[in-house]
Amino acid sequence: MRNKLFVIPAVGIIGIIVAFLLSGGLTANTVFYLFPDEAVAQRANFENGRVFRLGGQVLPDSVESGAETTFSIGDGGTIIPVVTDRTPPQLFDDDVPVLLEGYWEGDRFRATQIIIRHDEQYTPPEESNASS
Amino acid sequence: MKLRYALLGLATIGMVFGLSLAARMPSDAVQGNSARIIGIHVPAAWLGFLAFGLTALFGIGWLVTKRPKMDYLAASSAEIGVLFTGLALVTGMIWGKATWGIAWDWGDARLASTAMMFFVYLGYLALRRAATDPVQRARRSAVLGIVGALQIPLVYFSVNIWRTLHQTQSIRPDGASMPTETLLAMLINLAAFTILFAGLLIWRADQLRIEEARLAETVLAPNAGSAVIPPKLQPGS
Repeated sequence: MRNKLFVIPAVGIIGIIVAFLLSGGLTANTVFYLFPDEAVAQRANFENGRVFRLGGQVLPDSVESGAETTFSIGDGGTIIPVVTDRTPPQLFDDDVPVLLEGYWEGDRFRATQIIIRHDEQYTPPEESNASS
Repeated sequence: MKLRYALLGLATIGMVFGLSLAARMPSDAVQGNSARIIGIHVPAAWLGFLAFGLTALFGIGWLVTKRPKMDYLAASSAEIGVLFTGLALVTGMIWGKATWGIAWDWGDARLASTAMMFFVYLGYLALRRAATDPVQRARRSAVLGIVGALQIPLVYFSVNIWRTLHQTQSIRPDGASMPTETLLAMLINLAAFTILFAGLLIWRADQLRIEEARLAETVLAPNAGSAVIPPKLQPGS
C-alpha cells in the first residue's frame, strides 16, 4: 500500500518530465529557433514552405517599408533577407534581436510572425534621448 | 500569535519601499517603462520556487515526525506558491505582450515548464481535497510534494538548457547585468515578498489547524435525528 502511494505520483511526474525532455531535446526540429547559419545549412529540411523559426538581429539600415516590409537579419555570420506583410511590433528597430516565424520563399525568408527577443541586459536610456 | 502581524507589517513597509524604488529606477533603453515589472515578476517567481521547495521539505518533515503541523505547513506553502506562480505567469504575459509582442508561446521552455509546475501544484491542492483521512491525506501529499519539487531545477535552468525566448538569468555568480538602482529595487522586493510569504505561511497553517480541529468536533458531535432509534422489525410482520 505504501509503495503504491509512492509509485503512482512518481511515475506520473517522471513520465511528464521525460516526455517534456524527449519532445524538446531529442529532435532537432523541435529546437525553438534556428540561427541564420543553421537555417541555411538545414535548408533541405525546410523545403515547400515548411514553417520554422529563425533568430537573429535586424541589420542596421536594412529595413525598407513599402507594401511589404523587407529587412535583413544576421548574427555576425550569415545574412538572410526577410520579407513580411506583417506590421513589425513596437520595439522593432535596427540591431534588435528578433525571432521570426515563417518559411523559405526562394532565397528570402517570408516571416508570418515577428517576435522581439530581449536579452538579460538592462541598460538605462542614454541621457540625450531619455524619455520620461 | 503576534509574529504574523509583525511579518506582514514589515512586508508591507518593504513592498511600499521596494515598489516605489521600482517606479523610480531608470527605465530600460529597449523595453522602456515595462522593465519596471521586474520588481514584481522576479520576486513572485522566486516565491514559487521557495514555496514549492518548502512544500517538499515539510513533506519530508511529516514523513519523519508524523506531526500534523508539518502537513499544514506543506499545504499552506503550496497554496501560496500557486498564488505567486500564477502572479509570475500573469506579470510575465503582460511584459511579454509589451516587449516580445506576444503574451505566450508554448515553444518556450521557461514558459511551458513554469505552466507545467503551476498545474502540478494545482493537482497537489486537488489531491489534498480527495482524501478525508488526515493521515492518508498527509502521506499522499508529502509524496507528491517531494516528487513535484524535482521540477524546480528544471524550471530554473530551462533558459540555460534550451534555446528560449525568455532571457537568461540577469543575476549570476559573476555579477548582475543591470544598473545598481534596478538591482536594488529587485532585491528589496525579493526580501519583502519573502517576509510576506513567511507571514502568510504562519497564518494559513494555523487556519488549517483550526479547520481540522473544528472538523473533528463536527464528526464527533451528534447529528440531528441521531437520537431517533428505528423500531426493530419483527420477522413476518
